[in-house]
Amino acid sequence: MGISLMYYLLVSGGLFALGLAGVLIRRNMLLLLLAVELMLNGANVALIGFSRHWDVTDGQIFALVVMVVAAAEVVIGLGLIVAVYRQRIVLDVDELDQLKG
Amino acid sequence: MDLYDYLPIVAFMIAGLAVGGAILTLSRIGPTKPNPAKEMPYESGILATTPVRQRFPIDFYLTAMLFIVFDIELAFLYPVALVMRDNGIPALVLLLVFTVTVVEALAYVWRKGALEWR
Amino acid sequence: MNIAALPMMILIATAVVALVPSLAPPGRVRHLGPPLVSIVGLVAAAGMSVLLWGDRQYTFYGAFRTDRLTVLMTLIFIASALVTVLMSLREPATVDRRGEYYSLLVAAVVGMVLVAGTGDLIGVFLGIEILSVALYVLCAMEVWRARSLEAGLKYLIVGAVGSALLLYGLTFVFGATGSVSLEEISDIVRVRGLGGEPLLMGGMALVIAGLGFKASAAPFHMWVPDVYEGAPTPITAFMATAVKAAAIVAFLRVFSGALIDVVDDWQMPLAVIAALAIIAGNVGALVQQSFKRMMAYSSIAQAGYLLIGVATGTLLGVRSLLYYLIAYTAMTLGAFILVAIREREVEDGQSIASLAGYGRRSPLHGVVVTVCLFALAGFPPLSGFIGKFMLFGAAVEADLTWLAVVGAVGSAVSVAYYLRPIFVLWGEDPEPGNARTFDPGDGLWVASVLAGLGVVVTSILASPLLDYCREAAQALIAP
Repeated sequence: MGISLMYYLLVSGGLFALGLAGVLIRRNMLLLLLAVELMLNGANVALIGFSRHWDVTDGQIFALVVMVVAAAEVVIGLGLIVAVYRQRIVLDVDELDQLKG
Repeated sequence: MDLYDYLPIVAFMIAGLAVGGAILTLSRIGPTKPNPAKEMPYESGILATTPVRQRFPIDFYLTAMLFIVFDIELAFLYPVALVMRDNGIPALVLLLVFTVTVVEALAYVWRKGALEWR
Repeated sequence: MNIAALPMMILIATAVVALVPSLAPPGRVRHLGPPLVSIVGLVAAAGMSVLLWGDRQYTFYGAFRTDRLTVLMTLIFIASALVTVLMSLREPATVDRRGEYYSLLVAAVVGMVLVAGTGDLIGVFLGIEILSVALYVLCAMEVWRARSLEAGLKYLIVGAVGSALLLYGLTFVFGATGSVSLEEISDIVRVRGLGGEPLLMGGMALVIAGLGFKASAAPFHMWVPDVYEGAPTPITAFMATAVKAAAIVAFLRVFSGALIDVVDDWQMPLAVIAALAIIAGNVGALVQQSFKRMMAYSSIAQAGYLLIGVATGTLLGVRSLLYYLIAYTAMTLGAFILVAIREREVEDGQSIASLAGYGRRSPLHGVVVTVCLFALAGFPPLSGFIGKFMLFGAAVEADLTWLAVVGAVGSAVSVAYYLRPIFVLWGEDPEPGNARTFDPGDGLWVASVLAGLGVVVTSILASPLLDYCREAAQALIAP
């Protein structure tokens, strides 16, 4: 016996919603990256849950791929933030307005 | 499923909250006589001599980023290791392609001087 | 293992090797090595793909399928990447970091090919992510220019949210069916009759939103003008063509391929998104002063036209979509040529006004851009007209007449903004001779000729091309 699918989905949905809310509310670049990470990991929890529910390993492999992709995304994000930081010290997305129009 | 299996965990949480809450409440009730020695962090604490919120040098981020990438990439080796015996040479070739790509990236980063601590 | 995945393997090897010459000491090897390796690798992969035109073959234990659709899409991606490489030769973004630039460009193509030929949901996500992550960096390549960095960061944040939505949607599709294999999903959906199943519906909605971000369809388009304007011009051209094509083929593989039996559930949302994109893109483009922003809005509208083909869910729709995709790639790449030159010559080289009089100064580029813009506006007998005509026809046949009407009206509106640069281009230069001249070099010249030829050839050889497109579409939907 294990934990039923519903609990996986609840945790997963919670994480995903938390991340989405973070993306919509937060304005700091680092926190935005953090929020996106939460969304991806929310999906990961659901993947593992479904994987157990259907008794296949595909979902686990998917989750592994997602982890690597998430790491790559965060690293690119940090790299760009460092590049912005070297130019001028603004990490607030609302102040990134050179391109408004 | 059987939720009762998780009862010990719930009991543990309640006990933890009760003890913590009790200590915090009791400390408010009695008389307080503060002196400098009592205010200091103790046991493992050394007094902070610099501001607590330090700025890390940017090189730290660079190294940390590279670490994250190369660290996570190796996660792929575990599932391959699991099925290595069943798949033989093709799996080995694919593994080599993967490793060469990762090592090349490392060599590039190294050669470009991103690993130097400036 | 057979050789069906060889084009992708060649591309991976190219991406790996293109990085090596840039480690050489400064000189010819370092300067010309990466682009040369990329061109050789791309051409080799294209040649290999052509040989694989035929029935479906499986590689990597079914994770990668090489069928006619895969081959056709691979050729589109490679053509777009080749023109981009040629356009980039003198781009300032590439001066100091040629290895990274070309390696990442080819890596993005690897991701696209993976999307086009993927056999499972993992490949859809992984391919989209490979190309996105490469492009986040490419957008920000001109690190000394705040706008370029900003474009990269914006694209990263929006793209990451889009990826997360896509992933969650794919997760739900997996959860509803219990399989990640696209072919198994197709069977399961048919056998179990999963139409209207809430988990699958939610998953499809999220996938549409996620891929909508990547294809820059409305209402997920807010980032497009900023990113397209800020990115280096060759990369903008690449994003407008190859990246959009990759997102569209992901739509095709997931919806028209695996989920075709629940077409009633996803047809209307896709049709609405297509209509919104056509309206938002065409209206937005009317008021733009910057050529790159205008093309950004135009590409939103074009995403709408392309999505019509997906929304029909018919063989005819997919065939028209594939033809229009080929035509669209050629004409959009050509349209960007002038900005890539003009940007280097004058301060506001992105603005439409700065094109004044350029047609007479440089007739070849002028003619190519004119032809491309005419084709984009949909003037007969050019390929843009043929493609749109077929797409609208397919929409009418699929009982989406209202969508065809929206498309036709949008297309008529678009004539206004596509013709404006042409008038400026062939008009008088108000202040001749005050700009420094930039030698575009052989690369841009070849790129210009290739794009112009592409438009002409797709227009003249429309009927054989349409035959190939039908064969490719049959890989997806049985006749």
